[in-house]
Amino acid sequence: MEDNTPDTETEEKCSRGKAVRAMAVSLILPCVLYAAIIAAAGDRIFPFSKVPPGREYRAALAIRDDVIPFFKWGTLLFTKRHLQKFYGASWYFTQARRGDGEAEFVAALTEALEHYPAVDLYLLAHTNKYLNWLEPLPETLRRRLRFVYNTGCHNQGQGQDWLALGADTYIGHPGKSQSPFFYFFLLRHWLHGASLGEALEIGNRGMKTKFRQVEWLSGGRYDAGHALRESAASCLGNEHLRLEDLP
Amino acid sequence: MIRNYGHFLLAFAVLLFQVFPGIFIYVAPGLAYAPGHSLVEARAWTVSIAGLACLALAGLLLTSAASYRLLTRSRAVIAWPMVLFFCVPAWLLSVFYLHAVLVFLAWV
Repeated sequence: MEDNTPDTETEEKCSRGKAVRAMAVSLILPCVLYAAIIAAAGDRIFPFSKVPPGREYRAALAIRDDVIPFFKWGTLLFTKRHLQKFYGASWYFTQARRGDGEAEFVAALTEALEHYPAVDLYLLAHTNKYLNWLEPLPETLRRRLRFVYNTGCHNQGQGQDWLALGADTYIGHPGKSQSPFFYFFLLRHWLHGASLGEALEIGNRGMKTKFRQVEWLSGGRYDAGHALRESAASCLGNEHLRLEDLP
Repeated sequence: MIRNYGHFLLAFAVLLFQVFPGIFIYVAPGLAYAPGHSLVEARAWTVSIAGLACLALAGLLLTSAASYRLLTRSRAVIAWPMVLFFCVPAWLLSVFYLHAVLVFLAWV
């Protein structure tokens, strides 16, 4: 039989206490660091969020232009599942060359406009003229276009043309924009129920914070004010539009 | 000898392991989009998310194991600096990749 003296009992308790503390540290520290990562990302999270009603009545198309593989990959990873989750149907295109994919894009858009009363477009491309691809479509179909977001530099001026073409709302950037910062916030908040006006404000505010952080990290070499003037998005049309609304 | 110092080696290894997600992020876009790519876009999303998720979770588990072993098998004066210099950066990278995966999945 083992001889349990008071000394060995104390040692056992001490060792058990050490193991419990080590386990607690090893489980809690990663959780704390995860919270720090969320804080650094600068956006709230949407755990267990529900899809706003009317998913079956809306469709979305997204197109990414020909950029380096890493940018194409990042855009695909961020966008594709969001569209699949929040829209009844979605199409995602990546161009291999500038201007290619017109036939496929227009065919998918026609199908979306024929079958869904609300169709949103995400033009995730540098300065572009996708507007020209849609002009030949019948006006009755074009009227079903609801929201157009265009990341293109200097493409804010296309807003009136998109509204004239049939869209209810257009968001674009005025100058040489750094739109990915904005798009991250816009897409998440708009899809989780914010109006376009609210999502726009959150996006611009989030982008401003990111620019300030980059400016601070670069020791002032990066001009956050200039970047913001070039990038701050604005909205034309119905800024009260929400994901569940029908045109 | 390795048995005696295994927990120190594991601490080095978990930080070294973070090279793999870096390599994955470097290689995956090329597999999907570089000229002559081998992965079709329809599968690129699934493969990329699965790969990143596995690497993030493996990094988390390994780092937590390393931290536990350091804290139970070494004196506090040695264990804590090692947790700080090896485990915390590895955890940070792992939870960053995990958060990215959860955002890409539209779960958070």
